[in-house]
Amino acid sequence: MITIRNLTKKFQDKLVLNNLNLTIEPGDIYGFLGKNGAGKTTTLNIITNLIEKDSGEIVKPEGLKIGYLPESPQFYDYMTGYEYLYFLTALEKKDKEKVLQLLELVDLKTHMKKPIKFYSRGMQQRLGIAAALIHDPDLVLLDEPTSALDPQGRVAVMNLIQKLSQQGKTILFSTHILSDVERICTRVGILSEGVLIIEDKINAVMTDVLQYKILTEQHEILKEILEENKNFEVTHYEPPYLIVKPIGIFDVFKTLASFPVEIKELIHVKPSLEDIFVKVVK
Amino acid sequence: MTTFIAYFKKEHMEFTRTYKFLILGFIALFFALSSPIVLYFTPKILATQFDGSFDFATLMQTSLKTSFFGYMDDVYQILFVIMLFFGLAIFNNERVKYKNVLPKMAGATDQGIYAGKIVYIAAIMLFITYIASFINYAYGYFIFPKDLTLSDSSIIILGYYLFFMFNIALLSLFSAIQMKKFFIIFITLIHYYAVPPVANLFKLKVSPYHLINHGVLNENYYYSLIITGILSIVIILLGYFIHKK
Ligand SMILES: Nc1ncnc2c1ncn2[C@@H]1O[C@H](COP(=O)(O)OP(=O)(O)O)[C@@H](O)[C@H]1O
Ligand SMILES: [Mg+2]
Repeated sequence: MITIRNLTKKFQDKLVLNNLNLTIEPGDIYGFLGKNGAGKTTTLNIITNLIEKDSGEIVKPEGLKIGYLPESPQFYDYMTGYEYLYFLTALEKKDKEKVLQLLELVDLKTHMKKPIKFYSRGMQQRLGIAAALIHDPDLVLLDEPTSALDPQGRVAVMNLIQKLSQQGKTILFSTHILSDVERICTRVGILSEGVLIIEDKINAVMTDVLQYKILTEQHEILKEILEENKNFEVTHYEPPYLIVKPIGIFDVFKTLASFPVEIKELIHVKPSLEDIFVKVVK
Repeated sequence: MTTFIAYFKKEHMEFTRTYKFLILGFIALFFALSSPIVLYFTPKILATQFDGSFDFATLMQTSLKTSFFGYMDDVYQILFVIMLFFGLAIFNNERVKYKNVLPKMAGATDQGIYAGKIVYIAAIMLFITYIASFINYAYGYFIFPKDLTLSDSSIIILGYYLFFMFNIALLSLFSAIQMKKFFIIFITLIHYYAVPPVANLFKLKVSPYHLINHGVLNENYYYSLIITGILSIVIILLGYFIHKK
């Protein structure tokens, strides 16, 4: 749907994006991760033409409609939620129906006659998402939609993102909160030092960092066996566990059972994105 | 064009809901109503203080004309400073505070935004200026010797108005070239207060500054009107095309 190739951006002498490559496929909920200051907002601002790139290429289909919720959306806050969305439709074609639909979608219908300045952060964020959807975009970019919210607000926004995805929108959202990504994303990319470190199916990322803890009294013998077996990589010994990493996908349990060692315990260590994140963003 | 209309309306909503309209209107009206009274009573009060030993009335020569010019000078200085800040907010805040991001994603153009704003300011200021000034005129008409016709006064109002819009046009241009707020305030104030004496110094016969100089309504005055009008429009168009990029 959109491909970014070798995107580079400097602010003064500071290299923020350094040959960044990123691809978003139709139907993705793409989690765009990165620490504060990693360059997420800069990337999104370039995709939406709000700032200029230094070099690189953004390939997208002709007429692709993009909706964008900026990091801290600013409204004309003397308007009511209804008036604001109606104002936005009026920039192309007035559409009351659309406004009411969107208010319904983001669950703001009961507050639509209140001035925006009396909205909570969560309500403003939802209004911002409605605003980003005003021209029926195919691709929706959300910059840290959950960062400023309390847990309830965060859940509401997450659910909304899933709802949008079910309606057929492709979504990219940036965040530095890993649990958000784990919950709903189909794919993730981690931005660090100007490049995207991992861009792959989330499951592939998982398998890449997948580990097993094995408890056995014969850990030295097992270690030797495993070192000869090409299916495993022995990471280290963390008493009393031997930590191993399967290479490729196979039935780990069966394979281990076939070895002449007594295994007392096998723990599947599902890496959290936190682990992945820490590992790649050192 | 849709952006222009949407922003014209939006600006109106902002003016009324954030009390900008109320503030400007109140100040204009307050001076319109208070300055003739002050002018009327000052000589009388002074006279009582001095036991009638001075004839303050002749000394101060209050007439409809002095009252009217006095009002225009006062109110314009104050409105100007207020409009400088409102104008800055109007032209700069969108960009600096990113309020235009969502509208732009929804199809707003920079040019349409700019046009909507400047046309709105021009319209609202024309409205406030004429209403308040005519009230002042009518008021003075009943208490002072009548030495100024209504048609002359409406031309004088137009002069002040055009000078005002000339400054707003400059301000919007500075903002269009993304000048920093501080410099915009600085340059605009310098321009407003220092240039008229400079124009006098160079003995210019025709200039925007002649419009606020209590000059006689002669040929030079009319040329000044035309030139200021044209200059303002040129500056506004320049700002408009800078925004095109
Ligand atoms: N307009 C700018 N001028 C100078 N530096 C900037 C500008 N915008 C962003 N930066 C810098 O670029 C880096 C990336 O910023 P940003 O894209 O906002 O990161 P993120 O959104 O991932 O937190 C930061 O170090 C920030 O200070
Ligand atoms: Mg950011």
